[in-house]
Amino acid sequence: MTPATVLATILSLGTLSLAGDGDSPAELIAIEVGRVITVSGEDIVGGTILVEGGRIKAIGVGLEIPWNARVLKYPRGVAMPGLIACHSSIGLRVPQEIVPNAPYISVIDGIDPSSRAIKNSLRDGITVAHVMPSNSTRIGGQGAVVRLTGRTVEEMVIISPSGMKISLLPPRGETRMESMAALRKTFLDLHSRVEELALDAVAPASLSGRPAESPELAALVASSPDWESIVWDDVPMDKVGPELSPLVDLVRGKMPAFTYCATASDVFKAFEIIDSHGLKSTLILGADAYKLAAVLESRKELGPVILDPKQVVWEIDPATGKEKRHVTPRILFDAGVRFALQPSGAARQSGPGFSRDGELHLWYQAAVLVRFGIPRGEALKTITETPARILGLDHRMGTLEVGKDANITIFSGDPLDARSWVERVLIEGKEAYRRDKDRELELLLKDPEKSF
Amino acid sequence: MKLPRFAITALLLFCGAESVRAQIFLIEARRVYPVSGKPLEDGKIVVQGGKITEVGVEVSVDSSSPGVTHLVVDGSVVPGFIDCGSSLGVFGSSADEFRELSPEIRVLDAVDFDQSTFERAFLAGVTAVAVSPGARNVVGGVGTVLRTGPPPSEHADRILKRDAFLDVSLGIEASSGNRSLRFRRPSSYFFRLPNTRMGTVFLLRRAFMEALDHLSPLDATATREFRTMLVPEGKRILRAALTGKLPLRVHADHHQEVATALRLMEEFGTRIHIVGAAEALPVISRIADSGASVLIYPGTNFRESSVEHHPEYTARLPHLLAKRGVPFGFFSKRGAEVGLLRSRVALSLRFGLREEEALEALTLGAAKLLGVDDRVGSIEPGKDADLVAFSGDPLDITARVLWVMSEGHTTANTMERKF
Repeated sequence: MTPATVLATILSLGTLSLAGDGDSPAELIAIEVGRVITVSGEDIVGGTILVEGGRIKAIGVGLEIPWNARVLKYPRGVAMPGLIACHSSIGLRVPQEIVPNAPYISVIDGIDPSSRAIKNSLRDGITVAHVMPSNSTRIGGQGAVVRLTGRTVEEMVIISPSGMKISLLPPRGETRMESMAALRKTFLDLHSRVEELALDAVAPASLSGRPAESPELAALVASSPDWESIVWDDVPMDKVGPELSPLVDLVRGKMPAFTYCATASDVFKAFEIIDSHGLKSTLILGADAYKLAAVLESRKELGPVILDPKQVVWEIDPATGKEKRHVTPRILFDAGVRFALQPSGAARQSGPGFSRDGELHLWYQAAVLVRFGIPRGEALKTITETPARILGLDHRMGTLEVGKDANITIFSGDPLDARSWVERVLIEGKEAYRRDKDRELELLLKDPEKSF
Repeated sequence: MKLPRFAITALLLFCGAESVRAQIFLIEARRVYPVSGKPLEDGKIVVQGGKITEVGVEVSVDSSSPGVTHLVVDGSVVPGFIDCGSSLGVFGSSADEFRELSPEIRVLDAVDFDQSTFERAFLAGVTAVAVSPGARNVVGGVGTVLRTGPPPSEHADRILKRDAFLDVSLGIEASSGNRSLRFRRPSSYFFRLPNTRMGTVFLLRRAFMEALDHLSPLDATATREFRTMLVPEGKRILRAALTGKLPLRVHADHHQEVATALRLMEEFGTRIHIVGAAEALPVISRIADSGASVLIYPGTNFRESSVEHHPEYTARLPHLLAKRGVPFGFFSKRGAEVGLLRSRVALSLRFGLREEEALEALTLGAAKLLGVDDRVGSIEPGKDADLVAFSGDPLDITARVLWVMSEGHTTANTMERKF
């Protein structure tokens, strides 16, 4: 470690621990802002939010502020539900394993609580992130939903495991066909294995005289196993082993899947996997998802989808060489498809930082939705309420309502205005970020000639 | 195949040109930003024959007059944006890789006017672009200023300024492709000077001296292999750049490179535009004192993630230049980035740049730096009707482009396209 790194680490630890100090769980906080965007209902002008014990106790105009409440005043500020990144690799240095099938790994072993990406995401108003393995591994591993505050991963975790990452982007060196065949085989092998274990438990193989069957042969004759035939109570779970048990949870519906479809055509393969094995899966779509409006509309039972950060796609007509513009979110929105947005993975190591490339910022992406005619309220839902719903946490977060977690981001102005900064972030009522104590921002904005 | 297509295009253009000449536009917007003056609330613009004839709150043309097309904009109208340099439309390489000193090459010769990237830029509200030879060669060549649209239009009509500037480079790119002779036998023309910053500066200075005939016979013999590095046309162009007849643009990002550029500028008594200046914050006052202008790349610098480690950081560069009164414009490196210009500049507002400063840098400021401010860059009578209509304020990221006009032409595309 260089002295500078050590210093940076101490500084970042200092910030984190400072943020934690003095926030006893029962503390009362009153937030007075110019406007409250509740997302669940109308905006409240000149509203106050009362927070107690990490939850929202009351929201309204002219609330009586208890004598012992800490008052946060931002007369021109706008408070909104903390942003939620529903597919990200925030905090992971290397976001995936090199083997194509790694259902047994979990991101909680890779998240670095002091990573720059966490700090930069807080600075961008993100309070909760769904951290998932990246897209280059077929079965990438287990994700976790984390709050972006805490000194250890244990302090950060909200749900772990939160879901299994499946990617239909073929791993390097594989064709799409090969990758799909391998994915089918994984499930068929799993089926054979649990069937065998169940049979063995009921009547050991040596006694029943059952002919041995190789899984490869089974793969040739059946592409979708009969999961109904498995009596799960007969399967000795202790014998399944750590490598396969996450997949058992997957096919039993105990763990949801998050299936990445790199191109529009991959969606049909995702449907095959989801339908054959009865998975509960959220689709993560590529930039050309505009082709899928009708298809996705007919599969609404899968819930909202997660869109690619690239919202505007140019398609080249091979015959004329002319380009055609497609605004994916608008096309899907008009077809009645609901979606959440995800921050671009382009700056995985550092998070959005101070980048002027919009895709890295969730609020910027939401602003682009408004640009293309999606109502403001709906645009804001794609970075708050909808991701919460996808993660099954909509009873706790995603909107500002009484009883929900006090995950609150206060912007200096309208959140969809590029000139606004995040002033303050509260996660479950605790201070997670303060702009007036952001040393990096201070360094950035001060006159450089005073620092050289 | 070619002939009939050209014939049809010519016919269309002829008709188009005729109708435009006759057509009068009355444009009414909630806000008009002339850039040359104060914004006008409920402003009106009259366009006739592809030129702006009137701007103001009251104009002489009425929407009921015959032949008038009335465009009402629920939002704002601004001059078309201008990008100060990219490889937009360049087919193949924009640098001559055989040599380092190629002042006589013109990037215009590599431009494919039919590339659809022009349309992308046009639809994003960028009506004029500088096409630059880039930073790969120590002396790269002559850049040009083109209109991006509207398609289809005659190529010659799209050239705003044929020979607009000379690009030279002190950046790391100038030496990066070359190989050192230390360990290997020369097997290609890449085994050549420069391999270092020192070599780059030497070559540039040598080229300037040769162009100005400042090399004494003794120098010429001492460095025989460099004696005739420039062809007569190249010498003429370099001389034009050094005497201020052709703007000289120096690609320099690191503060050390910028300082060298300023030193050379003093040595040869010429004015320059610095292209890049991405890590130039430590020498920002020297830039201001020198009278140089700066072209800023508004995209992300790889060092941005850590202000503590890299305080020479660029996000605040536009604001600090504006504060010190340094003229500046914005450029995109790759052609595909031109369409991102507005959103990147809008995000620069976070770091202190004011809206009017940003708008000026995107329009009139850029036009002045490129020497095309007699034709474009502001909404003033007599200037070409290059206009963009937005559904809100031009740098509001929730506002979209409603239509784009270039010399009074709008493509049906931009008029009808809803999103």
